[in-house]
Amino acid sequence: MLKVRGLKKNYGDFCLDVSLEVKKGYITGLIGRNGAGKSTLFKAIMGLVKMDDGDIEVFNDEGFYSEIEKKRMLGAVFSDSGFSQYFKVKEIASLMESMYPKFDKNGFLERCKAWELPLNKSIKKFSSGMIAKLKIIAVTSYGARLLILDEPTAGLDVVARRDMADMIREYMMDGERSVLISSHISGDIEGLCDDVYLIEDGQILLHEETDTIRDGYGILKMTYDQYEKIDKEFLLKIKKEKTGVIALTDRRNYYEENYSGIVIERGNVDDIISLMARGDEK
Amino acid sequence: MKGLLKKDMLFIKQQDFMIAILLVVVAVITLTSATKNGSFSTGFMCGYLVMIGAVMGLMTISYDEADNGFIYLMTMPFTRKMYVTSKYLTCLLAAVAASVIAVVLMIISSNMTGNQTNLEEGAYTLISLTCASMVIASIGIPTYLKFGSQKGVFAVLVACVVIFIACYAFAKILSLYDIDIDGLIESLGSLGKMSFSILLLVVTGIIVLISWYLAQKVIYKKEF
Repeated sequence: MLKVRGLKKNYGDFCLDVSLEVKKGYITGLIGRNGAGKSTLFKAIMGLVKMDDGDIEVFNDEGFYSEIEKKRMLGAVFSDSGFSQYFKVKEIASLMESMYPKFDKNGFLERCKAWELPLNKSIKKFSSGMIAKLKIIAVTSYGARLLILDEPTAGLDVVARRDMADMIREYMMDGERSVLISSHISGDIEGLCDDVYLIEDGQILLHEETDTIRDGYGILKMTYDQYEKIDKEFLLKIKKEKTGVIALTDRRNYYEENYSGIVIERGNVDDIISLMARGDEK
Repeated sequence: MKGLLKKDMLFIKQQDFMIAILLVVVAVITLTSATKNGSFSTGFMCGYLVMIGAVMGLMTISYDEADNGFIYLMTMPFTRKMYVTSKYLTCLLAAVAASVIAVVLMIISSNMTGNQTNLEEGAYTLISLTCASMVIASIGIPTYLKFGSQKGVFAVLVACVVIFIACYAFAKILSLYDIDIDGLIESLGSLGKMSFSILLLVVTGIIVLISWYLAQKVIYKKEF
């Protein structure tokens, strides 16, 4: 669905240098801290910024599409941009109907009602959570094949974030669509995504399936003595602290079977981000 | 394109109260001066309505820009060329609407003073006012796109001053070569109204095309 190859973009002393792929039927997560380059990457995919180098292919494996045809199959949500605040939901529905041939106006309005979004009030009177919901409802109302969601849960409470995750899962049920979603909140990504890219300082540090992270990755917590004796072959990153060493591994089972004295925890995305970003080489 | 024009019309409709007040002010001033003086000057009304027409069109760029709106807008299914073209069409529609109002007021006022204004004269006035509005829009659209709407207002004023200075300088240079500027201008006046209107349409068309080309250059270079 989407292939990004060697995308480079320089902003002063920040350099984005990224390759990634989103396959058909996948929900791919992009997680990283604020300022890691997530939004820049998404803007490059949507043609909002120019690349200094690299190549982006969207739907290229399915034949040739014009710019307008591609945009009709794409849906984008940016946390800091959306519909004009002067419009009402009904007016937005009318505009979307003019722009997207496959826009389901009745479905859009029904879902707005279900999510308690007033149809005749201008958006400037909406809360940030309501605006976030409206953006997701809009982008899932015209049959887009690829959704590019940049921090779509910003401003949402826990319940609303779960509802949004359910909406995305339901949207993916036909198996022909894909989603690339970014967040700095690991909980949004872990439960939803099939695979995850970790981005830090404009670079992809890690790409892994979430099942592999859950089943294969682990955090080892050991004393310096234990660290000296351990087999370091499968350690990805380490962090030396006063009380001992914390290490990240993608072969948790190996260490569980061979080093019973070491504290070994299941890996989660937060720990992985922390160690991949801040950790040292072994 | 339909969606873009619909969006702009919705923006303009947001200002319906303000537009109504402005039109009432213009109508009252024009009609009361007609009844008071027995004659009337359309200069104020025409200039005012020309500016309203141009400003209404340019204002839609401000609306698009507000709250980082361009980022989301540019992900929608149209090209940047279509976006630019829609701005000229919006300005044209607003200019025609403003000009029609001006002509209607002109006809009412002239009838109140016992002067008959025929439809033909009304049509020439409509063409002149629309062209004037489109020239202002042609300066404003690429300027607003380049500098943003807040700086764009000042940039338009600067551009108008620069154009004025350029025209003045051109006239001075011609006079140094003993070319009779006044004679040239008088010869324009001797053209028939239809010929003058056609000339005006052609010149305005050229200005709009140059502006449209420049606006496309600006927007294709822009990053959001």
